[in-house]
Amino acid sequence: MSTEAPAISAPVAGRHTPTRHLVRAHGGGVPSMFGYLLASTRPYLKIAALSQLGTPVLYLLSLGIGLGSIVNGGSGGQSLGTSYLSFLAPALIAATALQVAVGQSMYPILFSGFKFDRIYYAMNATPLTPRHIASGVLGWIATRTAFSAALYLAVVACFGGVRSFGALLCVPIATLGAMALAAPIAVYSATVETERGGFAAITRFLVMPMFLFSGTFYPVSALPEWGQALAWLSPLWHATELARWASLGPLELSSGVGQSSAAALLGHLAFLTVLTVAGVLLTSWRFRVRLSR
Amino acid sequence: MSRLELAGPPASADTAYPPRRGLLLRILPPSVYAGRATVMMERSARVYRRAWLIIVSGFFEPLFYLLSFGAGLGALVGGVSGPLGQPLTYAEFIAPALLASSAMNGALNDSMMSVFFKLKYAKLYDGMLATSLGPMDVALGEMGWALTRGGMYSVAFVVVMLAMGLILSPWALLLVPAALLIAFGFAALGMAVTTYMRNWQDIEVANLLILPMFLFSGTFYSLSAYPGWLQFVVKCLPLHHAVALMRALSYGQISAGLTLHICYFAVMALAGLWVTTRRLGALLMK
Repeated sequence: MSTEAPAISAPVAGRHTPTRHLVRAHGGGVPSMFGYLLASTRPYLKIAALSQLGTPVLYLLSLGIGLGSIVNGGSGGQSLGTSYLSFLAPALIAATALQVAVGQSMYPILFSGFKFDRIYYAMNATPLTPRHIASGVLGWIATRTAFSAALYLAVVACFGGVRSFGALLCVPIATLGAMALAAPIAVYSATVETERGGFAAITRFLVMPMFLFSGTFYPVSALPEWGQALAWLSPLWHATELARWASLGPLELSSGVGQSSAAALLGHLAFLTVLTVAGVLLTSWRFRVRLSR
Repeated sequence: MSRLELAGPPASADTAYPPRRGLLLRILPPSVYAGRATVMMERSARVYRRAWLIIVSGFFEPLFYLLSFGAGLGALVGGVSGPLGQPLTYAEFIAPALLASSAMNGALNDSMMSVFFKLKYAKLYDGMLATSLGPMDVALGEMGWALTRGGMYSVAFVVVMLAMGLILSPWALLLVPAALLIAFGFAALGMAVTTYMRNWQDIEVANLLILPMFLFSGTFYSLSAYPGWLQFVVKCLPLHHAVALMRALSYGQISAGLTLHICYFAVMALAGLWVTTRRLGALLMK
């Protein structure tokens, strides 16, 4: 999978940047940020929808069904106690949500926001405050992430990978898990002055290993001890555990997949919530510092 | 102004430039090729000296896949059978295929995203073509840089394979040149396609077409998991030929059939180079 990001983000603000009009229409604040971000996404809507529908279809066909055929055929089928597709799906929803959110919290914030298009400076010159801008951007990332998680879940359902209604909880869980990483990254994006491979390093050294080592494709118990210890630090692992519990836990599989104690569940939730809240507060602070210079 | 005057025109052609040698220089007009592709590569090397982290990080992606899938998924999957039915561990099965897909990904990264940015936004080639460089210098230089990067990654990955005991035959010495050929093919194809791109949406579409190749070309499981028609489609895709070539070399299953894979990439590389040169000329030398 290609992870190297382009040297510049897609230009977000077009010729008719609708900020001012929308600030007036919505009476300012975070809703007007949403209006702007929604309007600026419109030219990309078709391709974004295509990509967000196409990606899950391809992944589920290839990994859920193709790879599933050798896992179910091998020793793995019994040890999971459920089809590989239904084991993989909640984790893939969480992992994809993470990638969507992280992608939105890097180049767009630094390049269209602060550096090249400098739209945040323009917004800051209106009645919007840095806190409005920061929470608008993060809220927008969360909304987009939730939307793509919901779309992913719908595709999974079409493939027959959903085994209980609890799977619906995957959408908020995946969104929380994604924001637990995306919000801290937004702090970095709002701080960094010159991009010299930092974003590529985040993608390659943080997001990619997280995708591969957080129990997405197999239970983390298959990893050596130090690998399991590292998984503890990964927001994606916590989100994956919660998503598996929500979608497979109610079935009480004999293999124990999806089972978690109440304490463990609270622990996962607390870990993700703390990271998200800290990220949101710090992003607000960094936006204020940078915009008031 | 004063700097221009100081630099001035070179006193005589042969002190400023090396003499024109080689087949390409004899058959191509100087407006297309000046034999100076290396200055393009030098430029890339100088630019990336300030972003060395990007270069280093590229090596870790296939390594992480190998460690994660080889160890963790290997435990779920158990053993698999190779192209000729021989028993293999899961890590032995995916390692050569990961080498092939990382050659593809590396080459496409350098030849699509970064070329598109230079072509549309940085206007880098406009400036270069205003000098003695021709479109083929630009094309060869960019592909040469992609190959240099790809070559470094392949050597590193083959060393890792060797250290993990995943190399089963001395033919594996040929894995690196094979990876370079594959990277050349994809770099040429990627750059040729990029010259037709209009905006970032087109790049997104291209990425959406590359993803199934990575997922479906038999990297993680053998093609027999598919129905017959899908197997046929996959066998037409370039990454399938790359994966098959790498597996054959690393298991030492050498046969005349490998020529097909090699020819596939040779044709892809030459056709891509030709199209890129033509398109760069048409776009920028109006």
